Amino acid sequence: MKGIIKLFIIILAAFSLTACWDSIGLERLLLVYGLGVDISKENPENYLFTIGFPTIIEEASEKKMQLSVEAPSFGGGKCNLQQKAYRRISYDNIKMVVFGEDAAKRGIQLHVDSMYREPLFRGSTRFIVVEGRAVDLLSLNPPAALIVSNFLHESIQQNYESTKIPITTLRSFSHEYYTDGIEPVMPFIQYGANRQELNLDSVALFNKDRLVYKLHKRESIAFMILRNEIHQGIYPFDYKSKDQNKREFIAINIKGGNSKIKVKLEDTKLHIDHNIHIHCSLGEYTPEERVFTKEKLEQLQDYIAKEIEADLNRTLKILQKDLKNDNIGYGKHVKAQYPEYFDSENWNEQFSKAIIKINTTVKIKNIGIAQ
Amino acid sequence: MYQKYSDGEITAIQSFVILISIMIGTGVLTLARVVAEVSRQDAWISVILNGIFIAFMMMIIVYMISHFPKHNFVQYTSCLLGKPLAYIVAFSYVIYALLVTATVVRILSEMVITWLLTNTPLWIINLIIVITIVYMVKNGVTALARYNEVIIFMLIPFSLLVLVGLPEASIINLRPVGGTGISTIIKGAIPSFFSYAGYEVLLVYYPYISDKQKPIMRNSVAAVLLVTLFYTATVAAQIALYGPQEIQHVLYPSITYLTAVEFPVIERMEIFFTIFWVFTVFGTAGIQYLAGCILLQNIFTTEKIHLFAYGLAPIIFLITMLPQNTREVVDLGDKVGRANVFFGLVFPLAIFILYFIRKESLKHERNH
Repeated sequence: MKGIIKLFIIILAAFSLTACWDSIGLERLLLVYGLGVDISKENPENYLFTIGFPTIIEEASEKKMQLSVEAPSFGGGKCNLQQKAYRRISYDNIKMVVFGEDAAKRGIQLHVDSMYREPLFRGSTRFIVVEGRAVDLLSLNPPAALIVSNFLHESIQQNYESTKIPITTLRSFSHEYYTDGIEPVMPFIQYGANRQELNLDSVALFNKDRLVYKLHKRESIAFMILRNEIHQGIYPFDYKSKDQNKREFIAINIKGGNSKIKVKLEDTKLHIDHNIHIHCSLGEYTPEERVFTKEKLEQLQDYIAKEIEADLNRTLKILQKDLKNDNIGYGKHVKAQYPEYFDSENWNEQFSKAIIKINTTVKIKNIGIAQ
Repeated sequence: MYQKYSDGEITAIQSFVILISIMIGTGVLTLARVVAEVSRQDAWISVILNGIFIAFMMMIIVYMISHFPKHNFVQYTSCLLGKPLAYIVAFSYVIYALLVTATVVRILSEMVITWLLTNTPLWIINLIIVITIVYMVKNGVTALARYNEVIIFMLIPFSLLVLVGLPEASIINLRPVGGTGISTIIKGAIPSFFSYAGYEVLLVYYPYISDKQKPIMRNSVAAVLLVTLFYTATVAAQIALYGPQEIQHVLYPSITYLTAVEFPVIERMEIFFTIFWVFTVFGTAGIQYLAGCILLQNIFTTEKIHLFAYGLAPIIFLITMLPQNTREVVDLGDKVGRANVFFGLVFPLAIFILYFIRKESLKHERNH
């Protein structure tokens, strides 16, 4: 009798393994890889939400599709999107969320809340801002991938490793949004000569959840160095040689580096010493003089350090004096060192008045295989 | 199977394992957030302080009950408090154990519904968990101790999950160390106290340890310190990742922590957390439930424990169905947590003091 009861209980419990309520075959799901957020053209108070996904059906004429709906926020957008979809939409696989430039300027926290609240929405989902509208970007046919989100995912990774743009995820954006002493940033995508080319060498600066400025090219690299995101990549410079009529060039291959921020309070004035060290190899050196001497190498290191420092100071001036917006995160160091001085409500104002000194050193580890 | 008392039912090592298993349960899910709400970036220091305090309490508990090696809970509390009060305390403990079990089961099912089976009815999940727990405890403490001996090894990969978010973490989020002030850090120890709840179950299980000549006190304190180490590492890692401000917005930082980093092949790292954690929580609920059953067995001096294991199951199930949403579950947990202050703090201290007061008269009674 006991055995029969045990068997009955096991059979009853085994029914739970069929996950009657929750199991859904993959063929019944619509897996979204990219999400776009724009301001609606027809109704500017609303937003246009676009999802991009592979069709997965063999007989389908298109391998991928897009759906767009209007809604006041992402929560409403999800509801409206499901009405248009032929399968149950799963947002758990979204790799990329693209914000149109105007939508980013208006503020994005409204949409981020729904993503942050959803248990299955990945914290590692990447955020980017695009020039123009996100719906146009998501409709692109990239050269090396089916879905543009996958292509962008790889491009962002590659450019991050080249010290050009940061990687911003849902989690890192939320961290910088909620934390005092730092403002969020995102990679910014621009179109090239034709609309099929994408340039990922710009950074979008946010104040809270609103886009306020974009840094491009050298400013973007300088910003990455200031944020202590020194990885690899090529950093070119004009070289002022003895012969002023000839334009010469130097380029370094960044191999890595680090930065240290020291904070001091002297007579109620905040001093920030930002020491940056970069080690690299020489990637290009067009002047005729040989570089393979100790004195020349040291001279070159000093020259490159000064050039980099000039770029860093120019970028810092934009953040500190023009925007009064600390996207680098100096505030976190001030808060850690001088919590009684740090004013969480007015840190950006305090930041604008701080005396920041950048000291850069460069070490050339090798010069390649030519003298 | 209730055996003769002198044979005991669990070993000293199993008691060590039971202590670890009962302390690491549902509290770990929200520990970093609830403590950081008070002591912010110094939450990890609050956890350490609390762990040291609990270790001290454990020493008091073991010292006191080691003087009653042949008495069960009802018997030694009768010696110290008198029979009527002892029976009242024992019944209260039974109710407390049932409430804790029901709370743990409900929190487990909330997690399962939130992260895994979003459409499955709550009563199905609760029923399966309760049936499993009844099956685990119906044969007594020996079988349950063996279960915990097996799952304790899951704590090794469970602990390693702390390392997952470290590439994104930043030490600056933990600074200034001690910046919130000593009084705030001590206040932060109060919410972390509930994450250690369950250590007082040694009051019930100690009589069933067969090899009491082993260093039970050392093992028990080691169990508390091991859990403290685990909790400290978890809290420090989560605050280093989120920072004291962002963590206030994350309901379950221990799980969300694992979604912060991308991994090749494994998309959902939180699945591993859920696997290890679910087994641990079953251990927690089982130990607490069995404690209630053992106390009833002591009160009614019966031989069979499974009568109580089966009989109380419907009550547990009904209590798990009472809260209507996550907020009410948290409120239930808070109320039960306050009861833990009595059984984990006030009661052991009270009987410890009473033991010293009545030491001589107890010796006299034993000699006669």
